[in-house]
This record gives sequence, structure tokens and C-alpha cells, in this order.
Amino acid sequence: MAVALDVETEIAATLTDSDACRVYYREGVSASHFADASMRRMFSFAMEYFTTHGCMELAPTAEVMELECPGYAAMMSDAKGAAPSYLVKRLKNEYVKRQSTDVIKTMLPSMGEDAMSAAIMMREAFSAIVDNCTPSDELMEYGKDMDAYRRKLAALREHGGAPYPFPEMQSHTGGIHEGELAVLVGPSGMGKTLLACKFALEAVRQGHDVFFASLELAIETITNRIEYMVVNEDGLKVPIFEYTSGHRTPEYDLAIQHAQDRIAAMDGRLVVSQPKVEDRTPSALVQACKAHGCDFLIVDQLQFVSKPKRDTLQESYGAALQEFKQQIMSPVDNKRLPMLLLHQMNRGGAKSQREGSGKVGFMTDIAGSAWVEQISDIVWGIGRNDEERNNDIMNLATLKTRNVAPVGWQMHWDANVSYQFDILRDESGSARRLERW
Amino acid sequence: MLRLSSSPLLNKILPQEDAEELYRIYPDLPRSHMSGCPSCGKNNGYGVDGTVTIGGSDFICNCHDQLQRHKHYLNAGIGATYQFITWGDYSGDADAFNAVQSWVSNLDDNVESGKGLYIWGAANGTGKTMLAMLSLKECVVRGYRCYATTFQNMLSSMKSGWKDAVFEKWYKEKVDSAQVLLIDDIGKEIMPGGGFNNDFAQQTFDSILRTRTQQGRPTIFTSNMGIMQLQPYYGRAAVSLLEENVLAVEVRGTDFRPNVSSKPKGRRRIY
Repeated sequence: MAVALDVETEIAATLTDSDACRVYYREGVSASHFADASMRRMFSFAMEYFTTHGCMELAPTAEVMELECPGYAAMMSDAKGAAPSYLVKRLKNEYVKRQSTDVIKTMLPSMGEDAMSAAIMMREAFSAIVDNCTPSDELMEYGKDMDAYRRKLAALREHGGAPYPFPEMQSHTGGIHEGELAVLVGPSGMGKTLLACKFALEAVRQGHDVFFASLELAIETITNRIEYMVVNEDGLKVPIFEYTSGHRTPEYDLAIQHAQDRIAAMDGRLVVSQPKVEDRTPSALVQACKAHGCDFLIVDQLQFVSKPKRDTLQESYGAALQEFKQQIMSPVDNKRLPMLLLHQMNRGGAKSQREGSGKVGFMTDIAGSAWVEQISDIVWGIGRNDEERNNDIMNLATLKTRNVAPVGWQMHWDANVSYQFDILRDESGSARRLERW
Repeated sequence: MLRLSSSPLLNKILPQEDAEELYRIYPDLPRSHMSGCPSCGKNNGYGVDGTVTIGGSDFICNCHDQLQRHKHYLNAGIGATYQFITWGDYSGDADAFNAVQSWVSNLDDNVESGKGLYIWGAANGTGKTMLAMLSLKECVVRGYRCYATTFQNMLSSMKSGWKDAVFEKWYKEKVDSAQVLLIDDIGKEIMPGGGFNNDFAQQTFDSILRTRTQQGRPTIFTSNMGIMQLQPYYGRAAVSLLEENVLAVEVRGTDFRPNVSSKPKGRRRIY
């Protein structure tokens, strides 16, 4: 039988955990959110301790809590344990319900005499309730507590967000950082989803939990592609064009099964989802990723995201991108979400690639390009001309960067036989850089 | 079974405009190694490397590399005749062979310093063009932009005498941009029926030599005439310039022409 969770007790029970205190601090939880006076007092003390004595690093120990709030240990023995971010959401929800009910109960009787004034007062009261639940913006006063600042920078470097699939890409950029929006663009059918599958595979291999929202292709299409990449990574075992065209021998099937087992045994988790149309808003996609406890979100692709309605399609793209960015920037358990968003390049881009004027097209060849350029942190383009396609070559280059120098490479891209994708390297191991694109 | 080795040309992709011109000139040229190979003919089917028998031994073909070599050599004006042969197929004048080999062994230095080759011999069929083409193939594999042509073709292009304007434009670009240029059979235009126009040919020869010398780019020549024999036709200045910028190699011997290109697919490979 499910037991109702006492949110306030659950939060109080986590106050000896510094990570939890950090979440409460960043999410703007305040003592006023608590209904119970003793819980309110415990929370006030613990957060005061965390932000002063603990230098934002140390929460009070259980002994300190017991000393300050006698009976703390006994009170907490009933706690069941839940994620701080979840508790914050519940606490704020309870707070909003309680406060809103109070406002309505207090103000409604006076509506008949001076309705307008009452409505204005209600508006202000509701506004205050909402404000009180909005996480305070992060603040950094330079020069004050530089140790904490340096620790924060080191932690950011250590977490590193999500990894890129190729060592050169990773070392050049440091990965997709937390809260960073990386966009991958290419013309239709160029191989964006394939490359996204490679991103997912390598992230899972490195222990990340990937949420792959496939808004276009079936879930099995995504998983099959990842299996094909794995089955041949130690040498050709299954020629993929044969396998996909129906030539399925028992040996091939067995090799594929082994690949499936290898993926399942990897350190990270792969969650592939094909959300219903109503669950394709940016917020819903990010929330779904967070709800599954994943730390890397891949969305394929922006065209199929339910975008907020605006006057023009361009503005809708902009609104969707802003929503994505806001959502991934909002931390869960002190971590922001790194995200890879796939986006279509138009026919002009395909043409410039074919004709060789732009190896991976140009920013102007992207729908909503101004918004993409403004909101994203890095934009990668892929493309190739016919002769490069004939020779299993793909170009990969940045179209926009914020924190790193522009860079481009040639890739070996065999989507026919071996299903292997990697940056081209010469005999000495040097990656083949693009000189211009 | 061993697999044919890969060359540096495997992942060196032709510029799209060059590839398109090749497909226009050679409509049967396979676009992709998945569907075609000049050596094995895809004798194991689509997408699978075929089998080739060379010198009595079977090898797994390297279709991708073989097709890449084929395209790069065609792009450099090296026809199929010379694509399927290697240094081992030359059985002519050993001294000439060794001299050309010494030039090839210092290829990077020779290209850097603009030092070319002048391979000549009075007799026909002694392997002058073969040695020149083998040398040019080495240049192609090393990644130099190369082009092989005849002096007569160069004269024709400069007179705008070709009906194919697209090819003519492409041809001029190839000649002008070649880091290593092979001019085959110089002096033939002087022979009866060669359409020799003294002033025009002299100006053209002088211009090419001077431009390439200024650019520091080497040229490989083949001829039935020794350098000094060209002097009455091309002038002392041009001949002097030529002498300074080439290693002259005389090929002696009797007529021999290798005929390996007639081997069918499955029994040949591009070197």
C-alpha cells in the first residue's frame, strides 16, 4: 500500500546532506514554504549554517542538528527518502495551494463591495506567491569567496556534461557542458540521426544516461542503428547493407544479439522514447529526460517539436529554442542538462554542399537561423558533395561557436557495410582537419 | 588470402568538378566502389571486395583503393594502359631505369627544387613514355597535382582548336595548375604532318618552360630528340633553360612494349 509522503519531514531529513542543501538554495526554497513551525525552524537553521559556517559546501551534521533541534533524529526516523528536486517541487506545490486557498478565502467575501480593488489585491497576492516560488538567480560577486568560486569551476570541469563521440571533438570543446545546447544541422538524409546515435552510444559507453527523444523515426530504427555500430566495431561481422536488405543468416543474427547484450551491459543507460504529439513540447521533453534520471538529452529533431504559437514560424522556432535553453539551464540535483538538438538544413544548404561552396552549408541555410545562432552554444554542421559520398567521406565542422575556436574535420562515414563513423586520421594518428568550410 | 594494400589515395577525394568532368568523359566510370571496380569488376557481387589473381596468387581486391587510384590517374591524364603496370614490368634499358629511379627516390626534393626529367631516345617503343608515366604515378600517389599531355594537345588548346569548350577549359586548368606536368613526345610536332608552326610552337614552348621555371615546378618530357636537337626549332634560350631544369635520361635499346593492360578484370590490379 502506498504511503503518503510527508514532504516537510522528508526535506528536514535531508538537511544534513550538502548536495540537498545546495538544491534547496538554488531552487530558492525558503522557510516560509513550510507549514509546520518546527520544520520551518529546522530548515532556517540548517540553511543558515550551510551558507555561513559551511561556506556553501558543508551541511550541518546530524549531531549539530540534534543539538540545535532536540528530537531531530527521532523525528527523522520516519523519513522514506526521496530526491531533493522532487521534494522541492512537492513542497512548492503544497505551498502554492495553501497560500492560494488562503487568498481566495480572505478576498472573496469582499468582492461584492469593491470588486476591482479586491481583484487587484488578489493579483498582487498571487504574484507574490509565484515570486516566492521562483528560484533566485545565481549571483556571483567577484572577489568574494573566491575559493567557493574556484571549487565551482573545478566541479563544472569535472562533471563535463556529456562527452562528444570522437576524442578530437572532445578535447577541442571539452564536451557538451551542463546546460549547454549543442545543435547538429544537416540536409535531409545526410546522416544527422546516425551521428546522434553515435553520440548516444559513446555517451552510454562512458557511463552517461542518455534520453533519446526520437520524434521522427521509430524507436527500433534508433536502437538498430546503434546495434549495427557495435556489431562491427571490432572488425566486420555483419555487412549491414546485406543484413538490412533481408539477407539474415543465423551467424548474423547471433552477432547482432551479442551486440545487443554488449550495449545492455554498458555503464550508462539508453532510454529511447517516441513521445506522443502532446508530449513534444520543449518543456515536456526536458522533463521526461529528467524524470527518467538521464543526464544527457538528445532530441531528433526540432521540426517535430511542438513549438509555441507565434506570429511567424521563425519566432516559433525562437520560442522553442528559448524554452529548451531555459529548461536545460534549470538544475536538477545541482546538475544542468547537456543537450543535443538536431535541426534540418534547407535545400540551399544541400546545394552549397553539392557544389562545394560550403562543405557543411552555412548558418543562413538553417530554419530560424538567427534564433539558432543566438540561443545555441555550439552549432555543428555535417555535409558532403557527391564524390565525398562515393568515397565514404563526411565533413563535420562548427557553424557557430561560443567558447571554442571554430574547427572542422573529415570523417570516415561508412553507412553501407561496416557502419563505422570516425574522424579520419593519417598513419601518424593526426586527425584530418578541414582547412576551410 | 591477402588483401591488396591501400594507398594514400584511398581517402584523398577528387574535387567535385574534376570528378564530374571524369564522369562526363568516361560515362562507364563507376561512381562508387560499392558497385564497380576497375580491377576485379566486383566479381563477388555488389558491395563486396572481389578476387584478383596476380602472378598466380589470389588476392582479395581493395575495390575502394583501386577505384580511387583509377580516378586519380585518369584525372592526371594517365590512361588505363599505364595504370595496370608497375616498375617490375619494365625490361628495357637498365641505365635509364636506374636514372629515373634515382629521380623518383628524391621526388620530394626534385619537386621542391623544380627539377624535372627529360627522357629521350631515338628509337621508338623503348619505354620512354612508360618510364615517364610510372614516375608521374609516383607523383600522384605522393599527393602532387599532376597532369600528362602531349605538346600537340597543348598547341591545339592554345589555338582554341577544340570543339569541346568544357573540356578545353578543364584541360587548361589542369595544365596551368599541375605541380608536375608530363609533356609526352615533344618534337613530334616538328615531324612532317605534325602541323608545326615555328613561331607559335616556339613561343608556346618558351612560355611554358619559363612559367614553370618561375613557379619552380618540375616538368617531365619524353622525346625522340636529344635536348640539343631541339635548338634549331625552339631556340637557344629555351633549350638552355630546359637543360638547367631537367635530368636528361637517354633510353637505348630496341622496341619493346608491355601489353599488360589487355589482362581481363579479375587478373589485374592498379599499381
